[in-house]
Amino acid sequence: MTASATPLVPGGAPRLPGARRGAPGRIRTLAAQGPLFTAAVVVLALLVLLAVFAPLLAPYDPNAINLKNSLAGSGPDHWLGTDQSGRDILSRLLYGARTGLLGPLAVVGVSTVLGIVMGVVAAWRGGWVDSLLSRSMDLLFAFPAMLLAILCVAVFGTGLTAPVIAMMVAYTPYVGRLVRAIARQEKSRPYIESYRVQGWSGWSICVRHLIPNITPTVLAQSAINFGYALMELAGLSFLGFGVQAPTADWGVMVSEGQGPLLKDVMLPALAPATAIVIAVVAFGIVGEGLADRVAKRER
Amino acid sequence: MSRSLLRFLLGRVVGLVLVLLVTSFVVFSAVHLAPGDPVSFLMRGRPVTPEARAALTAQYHLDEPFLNQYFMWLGDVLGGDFGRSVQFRQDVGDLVAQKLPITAFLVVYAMVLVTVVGLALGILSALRPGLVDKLVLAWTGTSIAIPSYIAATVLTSVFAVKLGWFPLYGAGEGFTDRLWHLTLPAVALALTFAGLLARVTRSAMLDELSREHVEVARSRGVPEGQVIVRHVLRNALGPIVTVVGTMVAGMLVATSIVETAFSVKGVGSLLVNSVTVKDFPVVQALTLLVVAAFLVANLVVDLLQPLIDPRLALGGDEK
Amino acid sequence: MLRTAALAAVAALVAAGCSGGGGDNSSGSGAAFDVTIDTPAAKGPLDKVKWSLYAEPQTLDYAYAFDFPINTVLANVCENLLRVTPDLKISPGLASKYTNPDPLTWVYTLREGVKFHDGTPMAAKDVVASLTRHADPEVGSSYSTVFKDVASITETGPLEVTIKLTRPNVLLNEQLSASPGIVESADFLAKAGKDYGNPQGGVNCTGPFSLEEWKPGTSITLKKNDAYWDSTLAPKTSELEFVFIQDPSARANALLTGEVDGGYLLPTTSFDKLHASDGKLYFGAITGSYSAAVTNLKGALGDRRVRQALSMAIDRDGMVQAALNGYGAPAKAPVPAAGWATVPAERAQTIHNSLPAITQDPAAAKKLVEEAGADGKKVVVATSNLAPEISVAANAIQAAGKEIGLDVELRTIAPDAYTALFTDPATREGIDVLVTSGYDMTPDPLEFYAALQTGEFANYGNWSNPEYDQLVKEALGTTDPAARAELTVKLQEIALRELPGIPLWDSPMSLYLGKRVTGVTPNITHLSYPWAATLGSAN
Repeated sequence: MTASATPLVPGGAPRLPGARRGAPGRIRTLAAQGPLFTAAVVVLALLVLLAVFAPLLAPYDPNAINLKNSLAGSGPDHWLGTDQSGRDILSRLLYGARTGLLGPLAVVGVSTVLGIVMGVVAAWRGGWVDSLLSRSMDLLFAFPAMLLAILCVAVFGTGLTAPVIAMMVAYTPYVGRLVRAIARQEKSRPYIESYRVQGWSGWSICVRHLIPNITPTVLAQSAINFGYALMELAGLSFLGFGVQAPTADWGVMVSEGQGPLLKDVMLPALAPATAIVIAVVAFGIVGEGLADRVAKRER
Repeated sequence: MSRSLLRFLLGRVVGLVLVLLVTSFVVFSAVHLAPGDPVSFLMRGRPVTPEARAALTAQYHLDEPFLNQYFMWLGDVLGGDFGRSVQFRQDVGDLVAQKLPITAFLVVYAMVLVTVVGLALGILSALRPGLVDKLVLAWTGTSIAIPSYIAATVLTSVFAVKLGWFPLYGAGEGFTDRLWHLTLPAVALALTFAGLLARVTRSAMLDELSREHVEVARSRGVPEGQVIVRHVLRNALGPIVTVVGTMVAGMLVATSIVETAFSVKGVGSLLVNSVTVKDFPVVQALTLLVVAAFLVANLVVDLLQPLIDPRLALGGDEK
Repeated sequence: MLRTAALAAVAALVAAGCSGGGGDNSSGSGAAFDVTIDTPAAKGPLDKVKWSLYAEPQTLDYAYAFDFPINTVLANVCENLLRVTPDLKISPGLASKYTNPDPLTWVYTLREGVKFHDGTPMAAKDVVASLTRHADPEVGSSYSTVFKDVASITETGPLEVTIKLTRPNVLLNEQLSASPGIVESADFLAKAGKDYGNPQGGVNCTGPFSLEEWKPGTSITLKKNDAYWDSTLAPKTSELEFVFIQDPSARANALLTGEVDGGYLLPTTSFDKLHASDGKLYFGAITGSYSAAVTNLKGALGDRRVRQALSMAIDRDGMVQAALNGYGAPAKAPVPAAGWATVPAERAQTIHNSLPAITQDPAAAKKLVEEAGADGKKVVVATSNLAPEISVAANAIQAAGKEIGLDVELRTIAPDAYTALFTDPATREGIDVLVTSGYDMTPDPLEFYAALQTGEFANYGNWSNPEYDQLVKEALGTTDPAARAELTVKLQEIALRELPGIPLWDSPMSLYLGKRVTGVTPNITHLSYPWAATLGSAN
C-alpha cells in the first residue's frame, strides 16, 4: 500500500471503502441491501424534481420579506414557518435545492470527465506521459479542495463561480488516480490484447471498451463526491464566501438561522440543516450501493 | 540506516521541497493573477499614496522582473518574513505563531478522537457482523454526512446551553482548561473523519480476515484473539495509517468552519477573516502552512509504513 | 463621530437623563424598557470580572480606536485630556483646566503627579507626542481629520500644552474628551515603534487599569492600577478579563449561564431571555441612530431623488418589529434627542419633536426613481450575520429598493470583517449602502454633522455640499453652545434633505450585568469614560 493507491475524497478525507475494487464477495454494506439503496435513489430523484419544479411548487417568492410576520411558527400558511425577515422557509428550502445541487453537479461533472481523461491517458500511454500526469495529480493532492476554493475567493472575490471552478480542479486528481489504477489493471487483461490483435486502434479500444468498463466504478466515486461537494459548497456559503444572501441557499439559511435559536425558534436553522444531511446521506448510500454492485458483478 | 532507506528518504524530501516550491509559486503569482495591477490588488482600493506604493514595491520587489520577484519573495518567506498583516498591523509570522497553538491543539485533539472512535467502531463492525455491524454502518453513514457547522449548532445548544457541561466560546488556557474548551469543537471536527476512518478500518479488516494466512493461523490453533491482533489488525494498519495521515491537511482547512462556528480564534478563523478583509499576506502564509502540513504528514506516514508492515520495502513506488 | 457595526439593542431614545417607558413605542410591540443613566452602585470589591466583547480588537493603538471593542477596553486603560461623564458633560481629565484666550488658541494645564503605568511621570512632552501622532500620514490615524485645523501643538511649560489652530474649531477641544485626546508616554511610543498597541507592544497609559496581558484570540486582561491619580474612581475590581465572543448566540448564552459576568451590545433576539434571567438587562442612551449610510455616490444613489425614494420606501416599523423585537422606534434623524446634550433637555426634545416623521410612500417613491431615470439600476447593500438586525435591515432595504424599481443586491460580509468596513475604505469597494449604528463621542450633535463635511473620514460616500461645508465652518467658530446648536439644526435640515445617510431607527445601548456585578454606566459614554472603575460586587 502506498500513498498513491490511497482511497481519498477531495476533502482530504479517505474515500469510502465500498468503491474499492476486488472486494471480497459478500454483502459489504447496508447500501447493497435493496430497500435502502432504492430509498436513497427515490430521495435523490425527489430532490431533483423539487429543485427543477421549485417555481411551481413553492408557495411564496423565496425572497419576499414580510417584516410583520417575522419568525412565525409552522402553520397552514407557512408549513415550515418563516425566518426573521418573514420569508417562507419552505419556499427558500425548495429554491435552495437548486443552488445546492447545481454547484456540486458542475464540480462533479467536470472533475469526472477531466479525471477519466487524465487517468486513461496516463494508464494507456505510460512512460513519461504517465509520470507527468501522475506527478501533477500528486501536486494537486497537496491542496485540499476547501483550501483551493478559499484561495480562489481571496483572489477573485466571493460568489459561487470561483469556489466551483477551484473545486473542479481540486476534485479531478481523486477521480484521475482511481481511473488510472483501474485502467492499468484493465489494460493488462486479455480482452484488451485481443482487440489489439484484431487491429483496433488504441483510441477506439479506450473509448469503446476500456472507459465503459471502468465507468460504473467511477460513477460510484462520483456519487460520493457529489455529497462532499454539496457539503463543502454549503460550508463556503455558511462562511459567506459562496452563494450570496439573499439567494436561497441551504448553507446561507443555516447561518442566518443561528439568531432565532436564541428565541428557541429552531426551524430556520433546522430545516436547511436537515436537508443538507439527508441529501449527503442519500448520495453516500447511492455511491456505496453502486460500488457494491460493481464488486458483485466482478465476482 | 540502509542505503536504500537513505535514498528513499532523500527522494521524498526532494519531492516535498519541489511541491512546496510549486505551491509557493502559485501562492505568489495569485497576486499577479488577480484583476488589476498588483499594488492596487494588495491595497484593495485604499488610497495608494506614493509611500504605500514604495513600501509594497519594496516588500514584493515589484520593480524586478517577474521571476526575480518570486525568488526574492521566496527568500523573504524562507527567512520567516511573510510581510505585514494589513488588518492587524503585525508581522504575519507573529500573528500566525500566536494562533497556531490553538489550532494545532484542536487538530491533534480531533485526530485522537478520530483514531480512537474510528478504530473502535471499525474493528467492532468487522468482528461482529449482523446487528452490531449494521448499527455501526448506519451511524457512520450518518456521521459522515453531518457538516461541522451543523454539528456545531446542535452540540452547542445541547451540551453547552441546555446541559452546561462545556463552555460556549474560546480556547481556554493550560492543558485541562483547553481540553475542556475545545472538546465540542473537536467533536464537531472529528465527526465526519471518524465515520470515514471506521469504514476504512472495517473494510481493511474484512480484507485481511478473508485472507489465507488467517485461515492457516486459525487451523493451527492460534487463539482467536491473537489471530485478530497479530494477523488481522496488524496487517490492516497500513491503509488505516495512510488514511489518518491524509486527513491532517483536510482537518486543518476544516478548522476554518469549526473555529468560526465556535468562536475559537485560531488559524482557521484567521484564514476566513483575512480572506474577507482581503488581508492577502496572511492568506499566502496560511496556504503555505496547510500545504506544508499535508506534505509532512504524508512523509511521516510513508516512513511509518515499513515499521508497521515489514513486508513493505521502502521506496517501492507501486504495488 | 463614530459609526460602526453595533450589534446593538434597540429603543426609542429619550433625552439623556429622562427615564421613559416604551409605551409610546409606535411599533406597538408592547416591549417595555427604561433608559437609565446608572446601575446600582457596587457594594464591595471583586477579585475578578469577566466581560464579553463581540469581537477582538485588531489593535489597542488609540490612533485606531474607532470601534466598540477597542474603545470599551481602552476607556479603562488610557485617559484623555478631558473627560465625558456618564451624564454627558465635559469635565477636566488629565488636563486639570483649559483656557481659550483667543479663537485660535487653546491652552491645557496638565494635572500634577499623574504617572503612567510604568511609573514614569506624565509631562507636556507626552501630550505633544500623543496628539501630533494623529496627524502623521505614516500612522494613518482614524482621527487625522479631527486635527486638520491644527497649526501646532507645543509644550509651553513642563505641564502646559498649547494648541494653535488655523481656523476656529470648538469641536477639537470637545473631542479631546474622547479617543483623540488620549495621552500615551512619549518614550513608550518611541520604544514600541511599529509594535505599539499590538499584543507584543502593548500600551502604557494613566488609566485606572493597566494592560496586564493580551493573549491573541483568547483574552485581554486588565489589572487594577493602585497608583491611580483619581481617588474617586479607584477601581473596585482587581482583575478585568475581556473575552471575545463574536457569535451572538454564544455571547448571550455565556451571559445566561454566568460564564461571563457582563457585556454591552447584546443581540436583540436574546433580550427576552436576559430579562427573565437572574442578572439584569439595562438600556442606556446612545447619541446616534442606526442609519443606512450611502457609501457610493457615483452609482444609482448618486441622485438625491433616488436616496429620498429609498428612504420613503423603507418599512421602518417592520424593521423595528422584526429586527429589534420591538425594542426601538423609527428614527427621524441621524442624531436622536439624546445626542443634543449641549443644550437643555427640553430644548433638545423640542428640536427633535419638530422634525417631520418619515412616512412610508412606495408609490411616490417609485415615481421619484422613474424621474431620476434610475429604474433597474443596481444598488449593492452590505449584509452580515454579525447581528440579526443588520441582515434583517439589509433584507428590508432590498425589498424597499425592489419595490421602487431598483435592482438591489446584497453582499454578505463575515462577522469579523464587518467592522473593517468602517475603518478601511478598501473593503467598501463595490458597496453602495451600509447599515451602521452612529454615535457621537461628545455631547455635541455638531460632531456627527461635522463628520459629513467634504473629505471627512466618516463621510463614507464622499458626499460634498458647499452650503453645508460653509455652515459647519460657521458652527465650528461659534463658542456659545446654544447658538451652535441652532446652526446644527440647519445642518440637520440639509442632511435630511440630501440624505448622505438614511435614518433607520433609534435603539438604546444594551448592558447586561450578571447577578454578582453592578455599578456600570449603561450609556454610550462607556466608550471613553473609565466605566469599569466603578464596577464591583452587587452583594
